[in-house]
Amino acid sequence: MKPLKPLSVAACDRQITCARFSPDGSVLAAGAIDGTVRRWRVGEKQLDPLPHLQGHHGWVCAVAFHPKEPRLFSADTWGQLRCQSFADDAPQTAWQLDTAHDGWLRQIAISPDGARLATCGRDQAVRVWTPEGKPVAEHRHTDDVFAVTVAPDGQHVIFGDRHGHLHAWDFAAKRIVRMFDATVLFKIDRIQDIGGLRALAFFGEGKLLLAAGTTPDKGATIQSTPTLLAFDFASGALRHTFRHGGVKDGFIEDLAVHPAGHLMAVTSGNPGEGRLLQFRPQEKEAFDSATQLPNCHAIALHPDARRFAIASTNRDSAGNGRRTDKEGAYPANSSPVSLFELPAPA
Amino acid sequence: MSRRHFLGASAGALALGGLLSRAAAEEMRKREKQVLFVWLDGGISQLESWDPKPNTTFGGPFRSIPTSVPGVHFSELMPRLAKQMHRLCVVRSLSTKDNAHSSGVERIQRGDPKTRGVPYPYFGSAVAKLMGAGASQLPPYVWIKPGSGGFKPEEAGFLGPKYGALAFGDGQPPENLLRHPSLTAEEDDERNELRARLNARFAAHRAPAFTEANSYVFDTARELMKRAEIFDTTKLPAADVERYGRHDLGQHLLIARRMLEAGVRFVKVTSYGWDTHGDNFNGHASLVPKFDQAFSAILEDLAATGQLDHTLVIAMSEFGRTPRVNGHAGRDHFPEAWSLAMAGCGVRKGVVVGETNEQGTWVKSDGYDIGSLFHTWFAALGIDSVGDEYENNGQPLPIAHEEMNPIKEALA
Amino acid sequence: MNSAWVTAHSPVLTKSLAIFIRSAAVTLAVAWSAYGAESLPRQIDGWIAAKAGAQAIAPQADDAEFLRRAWLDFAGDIPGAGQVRAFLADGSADKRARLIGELIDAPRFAERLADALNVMLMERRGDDAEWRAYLVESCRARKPWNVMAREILSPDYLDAKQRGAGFFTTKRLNKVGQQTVDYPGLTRDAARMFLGVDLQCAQCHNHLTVKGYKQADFNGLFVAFQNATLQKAVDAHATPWVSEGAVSARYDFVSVLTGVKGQTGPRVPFGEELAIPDLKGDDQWEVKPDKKTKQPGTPKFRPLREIAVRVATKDNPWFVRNIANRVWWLLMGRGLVEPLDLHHAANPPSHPELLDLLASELVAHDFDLRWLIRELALTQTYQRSSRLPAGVKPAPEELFAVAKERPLSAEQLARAFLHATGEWDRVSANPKASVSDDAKRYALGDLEAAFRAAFANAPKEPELTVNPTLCSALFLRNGEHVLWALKPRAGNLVERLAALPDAAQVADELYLSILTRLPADDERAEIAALLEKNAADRPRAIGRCAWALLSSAEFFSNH
Repeated sequence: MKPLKPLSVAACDRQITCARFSPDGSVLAAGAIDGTVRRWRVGEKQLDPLPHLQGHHGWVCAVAFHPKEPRLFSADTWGQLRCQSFADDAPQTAWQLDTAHDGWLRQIAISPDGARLATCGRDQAVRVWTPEGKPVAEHRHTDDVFAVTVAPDGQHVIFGDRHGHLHAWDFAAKRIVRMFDATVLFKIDRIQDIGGLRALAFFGEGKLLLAAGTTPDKGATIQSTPTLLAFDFASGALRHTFRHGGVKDGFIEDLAVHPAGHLMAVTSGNPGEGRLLQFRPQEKEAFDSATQLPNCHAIALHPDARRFAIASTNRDSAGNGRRTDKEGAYPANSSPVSLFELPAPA
Repeated sequence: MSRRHFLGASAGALALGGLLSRAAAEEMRKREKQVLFVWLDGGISQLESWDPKPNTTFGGPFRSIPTSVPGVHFSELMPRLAKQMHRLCVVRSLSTKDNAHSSGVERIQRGDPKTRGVPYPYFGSAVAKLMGAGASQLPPYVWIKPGSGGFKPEEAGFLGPKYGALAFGDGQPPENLLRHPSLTAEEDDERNELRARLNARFAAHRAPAFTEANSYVFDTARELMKRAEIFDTTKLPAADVERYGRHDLGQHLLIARRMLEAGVRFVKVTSYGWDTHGDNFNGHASLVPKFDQAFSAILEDLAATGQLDHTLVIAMSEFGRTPRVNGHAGRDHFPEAWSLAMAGCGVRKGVVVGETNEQGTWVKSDGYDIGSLFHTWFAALGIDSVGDEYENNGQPLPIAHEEMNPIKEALA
Repeated sequence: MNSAWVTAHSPVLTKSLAIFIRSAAVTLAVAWSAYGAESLPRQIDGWIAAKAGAQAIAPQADDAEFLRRAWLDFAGDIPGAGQVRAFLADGSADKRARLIGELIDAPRFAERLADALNVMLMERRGDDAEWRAYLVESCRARKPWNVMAREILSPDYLDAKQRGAGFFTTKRLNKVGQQTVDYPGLTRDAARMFLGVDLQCAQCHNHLTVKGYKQADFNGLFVAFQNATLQKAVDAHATPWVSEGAVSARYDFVSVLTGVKGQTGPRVPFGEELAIPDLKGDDQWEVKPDKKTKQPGTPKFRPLREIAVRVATKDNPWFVRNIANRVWWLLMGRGLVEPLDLHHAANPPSHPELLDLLASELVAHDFDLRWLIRELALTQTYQRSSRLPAGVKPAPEELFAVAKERPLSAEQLARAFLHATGEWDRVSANPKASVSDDAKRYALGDLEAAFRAAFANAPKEPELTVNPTLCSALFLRNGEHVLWALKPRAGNLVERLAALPDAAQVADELYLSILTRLPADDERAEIAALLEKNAADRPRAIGRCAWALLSSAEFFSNH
């Protein structure tokens, strides 16, 4: 398998945590660690920068587009949830909840009809909102909640915690209806709780619930193997376990479901390690893992299902001591965003 | 040239123990200075603990919270210690030279003095030598750590193996500490009395040094055996276990408290696994709260009994972590600007020493190397760090880096 | 000219010249005494007596004390109760000399000397089968010390008989963690062990307190060692080995204190600098290095080999005096020069003429260590008691008026312990430890390892004095191994004693087997009282008595 060459690479002077294309494919939005949302207008083969969106604090760690209306939701690690327009140069903020969560608001999920938002966070809470920011339901869990998604039926919010316990929550009925055991994604090493869950998604017309992340081996400088678990959503049974590579390959950081019926995931391992994986959960090997980029943290699939973007990290991002540049300044790391095109099916 | 004097061999322990009445010994022990040294091995991130820079380029995802001292903030990951800031002295202006673990850990714990071609003792061994075992007659330098235990003579450097650390691996006593189950206490006493009589006869016509050394170690062994309950983890009160946290660091700090209460001069507690080159933020989100819980518990307990007044408490690593976040969402080693915290005996309360710049990349004020901290700690313990010297094979050696000084603003 | 003249004028003369003159004077004296036919042991005693002057001298050790000392020194072990009885009962006048002869001529002597050399040279850095085999075989063959020293410093790694000697160097070149290879440490140890000088403080500046140790002395040696690279055991090399690189220029150094610069080529400390041949490029190599096969090559000029030859020779007074001093220390517990690695003009030997004598005699006998050990063993000084005469204050150690209590190595302790408890045969015959079978609970290796763990110093700590530790105390008090040996078991000490009906007999056998002497009357009474008190469980009580003797200071020192 030959590695894919990108159509273009857009620079981004700060590291990116998450990225998504708008449903009409015109804009790519990405959360950065300087509290801004970065945007690009999507050209045929390139990404053209738009002004940053300000107003968040800490890291912007989640972005999500409303499926139908021109709204962009974003969240940060201080707990703020915000809704704003996204397409114009100076977008308007529709609403903003500074303490939607107490501290790190990790993920935003939206129901397919756009009627409900779900958020989860380090404050051990899972909350459901209207697109106008009105609270609908809340579930208080007992652990840091790492990932959240909404089931295709729009009734159930699936959330997963640091320990790898996944729950399906009927938020209207206020009941946990099912649990899924993804605890292989967790390990205690010495006194460190290593939570390996990074993303939840549905697959195969809602039949399978996917939990992506890593199987941890060692803590401190984490050594772990990229892993994806596929559960039968109706019964809770584990159907497939997919692992790639070894302990230096790290985490599946982000996942995109391709309408053709396979998965696209990006990994970040030891500094310098990272790649695109294309695979089907029931198979043992990825059918494409050649495309390597250092430390990928986000993958966004364009609605045309032909193009996709990966936010990775610059080379030489690691190093002990205070490494300064030629001018004696201490530069930050950055996240190049590579725009790719999938090869036409043979 | 300042006045210098040599420090003799084996301070105190032999002479004191047998001569004082029990009550006097108890009183003496209560006033004796002790040290608690908490070592977070691998490098705790100052930006996720003592010196947060929220919402800056390198500040990371977490917020900061106010502490019990107005104007001073900690990372949100340390809510309990934030309430203890009025007891602490936080040095935010550490700047040291070594960014490697295997050499850095040693250099920091040895005080990185000027090269003399001899291995300097770790801080614990230095205190064991300079202050002795004290009235308790327990080993002066005890180390509580996960993993292997036993005798660690190498920490004593040129002072000699007698001043090494006695390590309690996984909080367990060293091998052979507990009386063998096949012996009753009476049988043990009987055979030891016979041995003591033999030794007395043997010593009667010989130079005393050897038999004294022999007796000293057997006596220390006996004292340790008598206090075996200190490290019997099944005897830890359940309420304390909850308060300190059901994990190694919590358990070990609880054992440390009991050791200090029993009069051990220097207790080192090590927690491993802080070297978060990857997933630093989730990693510290798990590690720091555990340290927060256990360390604030022991501070509270030591303060409640009045012991904190004569116990020097230090919490540190071998370096801090880089402001720059690497590709694996980690932070790398950063000796150029980092923090440690102190409390207790001789230390000023509720102050921050020095500061880093807005981004945490440089120390803005005077940077302090570890030698200055050794001077400061000795001063806090009432030891003349400039005048006192070791004597090694006839060569006088300074006890701390001779070009550095105590940090006056850190001392009470 | 005599020693007094030399000593008086020492500050004026250079140190090496002073040594030379003194050696010359002594050589004359030795030649003179050869005519007078005074034996070396008598001469040695003469020098000791001369300095001791009016100081009260301990009497000769009694037979028991002597017997134990000789066994520990020359067999690394203690005799059985029967052997003790026999020696004590032997009425012949020359029994001590005969015992010395028997022990030194026995095969066991070579192993004991090899153990002592191993501890001295490696300072517990680790064990290696080839190294041990090299030492044992060399001692067995009475290999001259200068040959051994040369082989240790620069062995032919392809010669199966020498390659084990390389462990001295290869072990010290092992990297530890992220630290750099410790070339200065290796340089320092080579000078300490073979020349008796600790040049560590002369690396960065002239030594602060020892005038004679200069930067050039350290660095001349350092050049050669720094040029050596540790190689893996591969292909023709069965062990890790050391290759030398090409040296084409002198080594620059600067004093960190004065800023004064210096230069030196490879050089034996205090000796002549080796001329570096003027070869360039490929000419420097006898066998060129090959990057593809990763062969390091062999240079024509090999400083390490040259230095080894110039160190280990009778013409190097530092080399000769160092070994003479160390052998003296091995038997007497204190060097004539102390510390053993600090020979210099301002630290003269306690008995200068004596050291000169030993040095020249050793050279005359071709560096035969076994010969020197025998001569020293025959002196009154060696055979002195370690007990002070009653009412006499302790004399300064350097007078050797009283025998010194010396440390026992972990190796000696393990053997002595096993023989004393009567478990030696059992554990030696057991190939593998078995937890379920009490009789096969330990193999010899397990006990030796346990004793090393409890009694050996930490690595890089010279074992010079008796050094009881908390570790050893707890091992003795509560350790499994010790208690196992003291349970009654077929053929062992406790069982044998438990069968004796008479308490006095028990006491005698206990003391003979463990402390290599008969008990005094009050000691017999003590044992009898304890046994009577515990009549209900005699074997266990005997075990406790045995334990008390085995953990006593008397057992633990070579006194």
